[in-house]
Amino acid sequence: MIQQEDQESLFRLISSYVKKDVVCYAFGGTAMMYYGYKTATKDIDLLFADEDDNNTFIEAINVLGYKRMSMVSVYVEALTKEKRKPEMFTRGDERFDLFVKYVFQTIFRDEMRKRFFARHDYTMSKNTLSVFVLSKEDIIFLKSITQREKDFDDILTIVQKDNNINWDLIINEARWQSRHGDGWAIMDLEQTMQRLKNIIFLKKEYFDRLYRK
Amino acid sequence: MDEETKLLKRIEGKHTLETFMRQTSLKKKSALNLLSLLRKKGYVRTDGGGKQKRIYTISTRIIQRGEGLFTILNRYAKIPVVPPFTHVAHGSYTVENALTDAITLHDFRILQASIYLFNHVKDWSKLYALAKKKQCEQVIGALYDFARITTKTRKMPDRIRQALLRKHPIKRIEILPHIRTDSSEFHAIEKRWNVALPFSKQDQEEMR
Repeated sequence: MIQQEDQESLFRLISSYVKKDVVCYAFGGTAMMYYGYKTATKDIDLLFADEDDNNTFIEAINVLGYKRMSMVSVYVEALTKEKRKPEMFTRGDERFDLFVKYVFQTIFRDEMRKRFFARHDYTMSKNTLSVFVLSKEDIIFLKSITQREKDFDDILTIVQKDNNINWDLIINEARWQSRHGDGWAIMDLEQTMQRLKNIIFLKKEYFDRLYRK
Repeated sequence: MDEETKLLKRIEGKHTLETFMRQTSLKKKSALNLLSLLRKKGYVRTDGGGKQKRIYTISTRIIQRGEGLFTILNRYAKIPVVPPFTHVAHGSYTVENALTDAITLHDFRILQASIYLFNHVKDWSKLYALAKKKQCEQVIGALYDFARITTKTRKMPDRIRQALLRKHPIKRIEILPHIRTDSSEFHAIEKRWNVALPFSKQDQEEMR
């Protein structure tokens, strides 16, 4: 587990080792910590819109001693066979899951980038590591498709702490992704929403809209 | 939902000590203790104090603190801006960084607020280096000239000005597409830097 303070120190440290300015997007537990939904996370999920930024980031964490690891023990079997899977790096208790342009079949499109919630700039030497925090709706959507052990608990934490979730946006995103190649987006989201329905109130209209043409 | 989240949801919003005591049914000492505890955890922000009434802002999420683009902009701007997103800078982040970042956001109000930052630039070399990195040398130059005729602004060293002028674009740069000045007074600046300024004469009057 990595605590919020440790995560910030780690990003500061990485920023002193990046060889050029790097932009990345936080979307998992990391993003939740920036939001203040929780104080610790198992892994640091980062998404890169640019291959070059990803490589620069990997170079920096390699210098710090992070080693590549297999995703078999973390993700469900079906996801380990995906074409666009994350690169994973670990050192002790900390783990990075690094995605480039895609989160499995989900496209990291411009609209997602534009509706970010916060930007954190880490500048400890010449170059800056900019961490953009995706919107809570995108966090919920992406967590519903990654299907890891704690992902549903995280979604639950968000919806319990925040009354202001734009479900229309999440559903629209799933529908767009489904139209553009992510065949599982709607089904994964529905599965999550069905489980949530037992705990919080979700309008029937949302479920209807998922499969409407 | 844990007890803390339940409590925070119940008391979320702005409070004075009195309204907080009423809402939580606590005595003054206990209420202050609870507020202090929540503030330490990051859920409470305090404003006012002294002659002003103290106001406690309580959130269900940890409130982000730290210096960023909008804290710097709003410290100096005559018309403060509502931040479109949270920006926190870890490490060195100064007026020079804020200026170059403000330009890259392409927002009229943010650009307007950034004009006041020129009077607080301490490291012109840093400003030049950042402008070069973000490829906005001419925009910085044009905004500086606009700031000089609009608000109180420190003088830019000649060597920096010459360095900024060195790169003269063939195509005119539009800081904000489709917004152009209506004032002939600014045409000299526009011609010098080959940048289309988005401010009207009325905007300039507002900013004075």
